[in-house]
Amino acid sequence: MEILDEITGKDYEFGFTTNIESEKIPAGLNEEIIRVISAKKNEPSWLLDWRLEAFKIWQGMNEPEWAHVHYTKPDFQAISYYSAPKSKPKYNSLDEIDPEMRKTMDRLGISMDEQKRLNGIAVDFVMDSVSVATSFKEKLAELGIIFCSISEAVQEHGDLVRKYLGTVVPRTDNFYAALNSAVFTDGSFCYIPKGVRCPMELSTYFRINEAGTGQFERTLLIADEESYVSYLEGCTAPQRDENQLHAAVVELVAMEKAEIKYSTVQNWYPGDKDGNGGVFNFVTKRGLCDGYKSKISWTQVETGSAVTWKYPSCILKGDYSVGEFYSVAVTNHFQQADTGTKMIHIGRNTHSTIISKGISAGHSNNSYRGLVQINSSAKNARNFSQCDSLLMTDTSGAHTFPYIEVNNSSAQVEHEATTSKIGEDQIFYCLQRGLDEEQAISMIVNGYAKEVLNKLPMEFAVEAQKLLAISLEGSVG
Amino acid sequence: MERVLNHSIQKWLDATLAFDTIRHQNHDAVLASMESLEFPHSKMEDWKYTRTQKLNQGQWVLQRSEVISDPEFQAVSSVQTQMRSGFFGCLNQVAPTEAFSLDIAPNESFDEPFHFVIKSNEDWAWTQPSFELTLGEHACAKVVLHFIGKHNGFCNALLDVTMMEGSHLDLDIIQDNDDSFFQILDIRVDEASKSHCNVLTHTLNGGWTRNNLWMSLNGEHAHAALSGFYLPQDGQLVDNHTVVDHRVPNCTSNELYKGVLYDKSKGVFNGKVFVRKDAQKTEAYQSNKNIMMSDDATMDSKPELEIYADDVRCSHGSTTGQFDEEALFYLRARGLSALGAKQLLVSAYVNEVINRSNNAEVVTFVKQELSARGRIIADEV
Repeated sequence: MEILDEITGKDYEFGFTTNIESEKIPAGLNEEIIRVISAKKNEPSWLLDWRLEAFKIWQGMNEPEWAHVHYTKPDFQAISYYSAPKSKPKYNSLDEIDPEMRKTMDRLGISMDEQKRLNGIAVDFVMDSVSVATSFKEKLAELGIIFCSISEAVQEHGDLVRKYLGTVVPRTDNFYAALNSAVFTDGSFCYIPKGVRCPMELSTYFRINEAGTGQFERTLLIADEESYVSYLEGCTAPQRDENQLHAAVVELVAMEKAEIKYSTVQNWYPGDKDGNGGVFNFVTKRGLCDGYKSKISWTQVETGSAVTWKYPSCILKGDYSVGEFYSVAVTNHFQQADTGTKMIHIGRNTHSTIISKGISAGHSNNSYRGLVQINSSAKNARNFSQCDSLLMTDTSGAHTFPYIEVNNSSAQVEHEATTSKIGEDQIFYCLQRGLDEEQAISMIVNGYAKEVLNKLPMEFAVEAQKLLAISLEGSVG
Repeated sequence: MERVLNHSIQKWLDATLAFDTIRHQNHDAVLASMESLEFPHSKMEDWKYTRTQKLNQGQWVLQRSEVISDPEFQAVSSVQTQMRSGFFGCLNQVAPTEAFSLDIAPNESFDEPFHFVIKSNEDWAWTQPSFELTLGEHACAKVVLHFIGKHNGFCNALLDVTMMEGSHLDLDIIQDNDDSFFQILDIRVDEASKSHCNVLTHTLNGGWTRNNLWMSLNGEHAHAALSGFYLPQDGQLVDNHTVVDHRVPNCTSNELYKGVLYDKSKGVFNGKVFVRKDAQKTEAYQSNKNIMMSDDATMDSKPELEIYADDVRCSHGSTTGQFDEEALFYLRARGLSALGAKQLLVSAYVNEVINRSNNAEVVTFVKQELSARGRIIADEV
């Protein structure tokens, strides 16, 4: 029982706030605010124009209502769109970082210090609106890899950013993508040159710290011909009773024979046991397999957020390109998740695989929504989708909304889904062997999600397993 | 009383004014509910894949159908079907062109099927037949509804089935319409405990066919079986929308829809399975399989599950593909022509659905019809 108390006590262990003085612009959204953000970031005029155009598009759009989630719509005029730690915005070396910030990173387990450098993960840390530190830059630069915050990329690699920004997720794509395009404040930028295999995992850590702010980051990742990169993304937020908005856009471009592996462990604050507070996670993620034999693989472990609305997608344009989507989504208490993927097959002989595992506990609702579209040009396209749902309580819900659109005769598309409850015989077996109920459930759930967890890079897989156990704490029905 | 209606549906309602011999008992309420409706278009989730412009542009003239039926079907002048939320369902209820009911008394059991044939024979004929089937406790019956639509007509039919405890119904729907014919068929089945309903939709032919089938399991240990096949060719469209609503515990449902799509045809399948919060021990299976025979054909499949109870077994599957080259080669090697080999495979594929009917007469009829049209090879008799 002691262990149980101990674990239930720490249901959201990243709920702390950091006392760093920050600079926050007043709440509200209008052209003036966008000009302020752009000026603060010292942006070139093309980007300001691009933002303003996005803002105009956004004003003409309605908030989407088709998702299987219910929430009070955020008041976009009550959010502050820019918040940055006040202390020196750029650091020459990691030792110069504000000690409070260092503490935050340590608590989040971000490998910033020397000993963890052995782990070999390059990290870009984004707090509220700005990127505060990026490690391993020089080492990566030797290989020609550019890995920095997107604001830095705008200054130093403007041409690349200009060429690719908004090409995969256009400003007109959806309500939140348009909003993000207008007000994005930071995020990561990565370019892997031709023929380079990135020697380490690249990682971005996002954190919302300030109250009354939203986080709007933008990630742009370009893998040139025959390159490879594995990219990790983690996110946390303090425990607050307000609903904070996170509306990010991630764009990936894979050229001929390039491979991008994009992994996310999403652990935004999910709200408390009664459904108060928590982050609204409205994210647009999309990858373009532009070249012959290119490959994009999305792996996500979703345990956080009060409301999730997220569909990491692949546009399979190049012949023989491959798209993959592996997802574990856990919802507990009053969380709601509507997540899945879109696989758009355009090129010939394109393949896609979708494995989605949903786990619903408490009073939560967990939906899979996916689109598999085979265009008439996509001869011999192949898709396999599997969506399983596990229900832990009789008050939770599990839903599947797959859209399958086939437009030629040589495509093969399979979809299957099952929904069931955690087996009482399985739990009984574990209890027999001396495990307690929590351990038994944790073990069964991990086994159930193994197919996806195996796809995560090792460092993340361990974290994800622990996260699953914590998220389902006390959820036995 | 002047009503404010969306202009897109006004002309449809105006065209119904001449028809007032048969009235729905909630006529005014139905009209009132239409105030919030508009003519279906592709921005509506329910009509995302089904184009309605051509139907909307038709110069339809509302008129009676030709009816050939067994005498047990009674013509009625007051319709009591449940109110619908969709435009076409409401449209039917505003002005049914003919209405029939069939009541099977409790404990009555019939081996012989009841037949009802509805024909539309003229260009621009628009018909709106309405049916009510009621099965008393432990009653048992087989019903065949046979739609024959000639020329470019439009049949907007509606059917309510009410099943009392322990009743058993085999319902075979045969749709045999011309290539330029439009049909909408809206069926709602309400099942009490221990009832058993087996609905099979045989879409033999038709230019544009939309079937809505809603089965509600309201009593424990009820069972619903839904199946259908479609073999659209040329520019035909077949759209099957089904809902199985598990409202109480211990019910089972089993759904199988199979299609073969030729030429420039389009198939749509949207199956929803709801398992309500208290519907524990539900077993629900749903399957949609499609074969694409042409690069110009399109199949949009959307099998959905919405589950709010935990102790359930639910699964759904959807596949879209083509015939196994090796199977075709095997048959060719045994002397079948390319066409014959495909026909044989289509036969085997479609027979799985046809054979789910418990009505031997219908099974034979459908197989013979399809074989006479060169769509399948009939079984050896």
